[in-house]
Amino acid sequence: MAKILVVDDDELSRSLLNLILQKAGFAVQCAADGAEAMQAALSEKPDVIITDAMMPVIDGFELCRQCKRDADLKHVPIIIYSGDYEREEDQEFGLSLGAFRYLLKPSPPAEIVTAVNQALSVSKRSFLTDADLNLAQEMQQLRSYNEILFVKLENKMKQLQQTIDEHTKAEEALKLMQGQIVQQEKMASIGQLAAGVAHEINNPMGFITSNLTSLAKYASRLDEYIAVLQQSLFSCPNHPDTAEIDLLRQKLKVDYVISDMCELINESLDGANRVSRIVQDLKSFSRVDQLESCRTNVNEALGTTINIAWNELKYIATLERDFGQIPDLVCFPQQLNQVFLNLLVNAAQALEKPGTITVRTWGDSDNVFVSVADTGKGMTPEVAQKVFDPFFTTKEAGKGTGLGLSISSDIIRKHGGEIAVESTPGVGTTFTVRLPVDGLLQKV
Amino acid sequence: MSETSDPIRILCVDDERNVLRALERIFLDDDYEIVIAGSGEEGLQIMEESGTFQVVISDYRMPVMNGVEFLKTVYERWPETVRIVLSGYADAGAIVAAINEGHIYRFIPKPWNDDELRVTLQNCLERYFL
Repeated sequence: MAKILVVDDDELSRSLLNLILQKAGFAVQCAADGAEAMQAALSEKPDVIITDAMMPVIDGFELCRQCKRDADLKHVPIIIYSGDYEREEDQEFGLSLGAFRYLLKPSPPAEIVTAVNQALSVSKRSFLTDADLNLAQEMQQLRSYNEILFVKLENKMKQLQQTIDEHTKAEEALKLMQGQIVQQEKMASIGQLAAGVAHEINNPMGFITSNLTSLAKYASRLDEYIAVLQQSLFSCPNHPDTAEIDLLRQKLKVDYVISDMCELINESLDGANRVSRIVQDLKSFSRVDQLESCRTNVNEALGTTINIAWNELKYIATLERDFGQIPDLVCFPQQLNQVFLNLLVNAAQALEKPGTITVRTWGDSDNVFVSVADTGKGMTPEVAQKVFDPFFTTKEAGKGTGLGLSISSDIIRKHGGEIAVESTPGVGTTFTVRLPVDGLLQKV
Repeated sequence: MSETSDPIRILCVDDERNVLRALERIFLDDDYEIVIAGSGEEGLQIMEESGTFQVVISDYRMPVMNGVEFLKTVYERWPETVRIVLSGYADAGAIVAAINEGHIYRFIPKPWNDDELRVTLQNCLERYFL
């Protein structure tokens, strides 16, 4: 029975070949690498060696070379059976080393058995001459070998880099999603909080405002009554208490109190109304109760958001409003409010000294345009390009997540629109948003 | 304007006394008799014992019996009474439920405007006397 030496570092491949060859009626010995194979072949010469190419310690090519230099083994036909080295140059190299055949994995069992049988039939004839290869030829062989290994290594490195790049991309996408989710959850819980607080504030504001109005009514009546009393009193020439009462009037500053009552109540009402308005704006801004899209006028939404943002803006910015006639828009108003708030706050933060923020709206039957321009420090083109990138921020660490514009551009995109930036360092920046009137309707 | 000689009676129900007092003050110069109650149950008791009310104004969110439950009962027992909800809790679903279940004529949000409230009430009374 012919003896076949199977060399492969992969256990599965070894077992497979073992099975195929045993079924074909051969005796099989296995080795896991070139070094083991040499040992096995030297102790018991096989009739055919079938070897993998890529193996640790000593690979298939080196095994071939070493066998061909051994007086005992050089006539043993070697079949290189490789899945890794499959280029034509690899195959030529293998054959130039004296291999009988170069087979590519996976080959059908029949082909493997045929090759082994063919190898057996020529093994009696010497395959390589006895003359040793001269130095030049050896050098050439080594060079070819090096090249082959190098190309293989390069390819492997490329594959590895590709895998690393894919992983990095996936990681970044995950980080972005997580960041956005956290941000959105924060906004959602702030919205919930705002709605609850708004309600709690509305209740007492209700009767405070109402009572102030009633107080104004009472004050006016008392005023009238006191005037009549005083008139009567001070026009009475012999009234015993006139002097005393007059003194009291001065001590209690009655004149001043009466004249100031009206203004006092009005100022208080004014304050109360401001509270009511900001609460209304907060409710409208967060619109937690409205999870569906609705038809909104962007000018109103902007107005609400400007009120909400006013505290951030008023110390450093003069606000100019240039609201044009615009059609209503089907949208998620609380999401658009979020975008506008982001743009306004960014604009205010870009102003290093007092400046102007201009909010402009215009539109036609198809689109609504909003621009927020500041006279702040501006950005270079390189920065402007990255400004919508997630996690990109020009603020120092810990100040801002760098997600605001990324989420904003996401929101605008989901509304079927787009957001763009123009900026000149030292002059200012303008963000322009385009919202198609039926942007949401199209995205079905 | 009232066509009867009996004064017009308005029942106000809210769990917060400050709100009830403020409501009383609004109608200082109107010819209405304002009665206040601190809960739905108290409101129902008053309506049983003290006679007809033309208008009932109730808060929406109250402990034990909420505004809708209260007004639903009022609807069942005194259907001609005009029912108004006054509330700071403006959840669209709640409003719809209130209007449908309580058969409510009007929903007024808090904070309310005094003049608007008086005008609304005048409209309600016209409706009552139709």
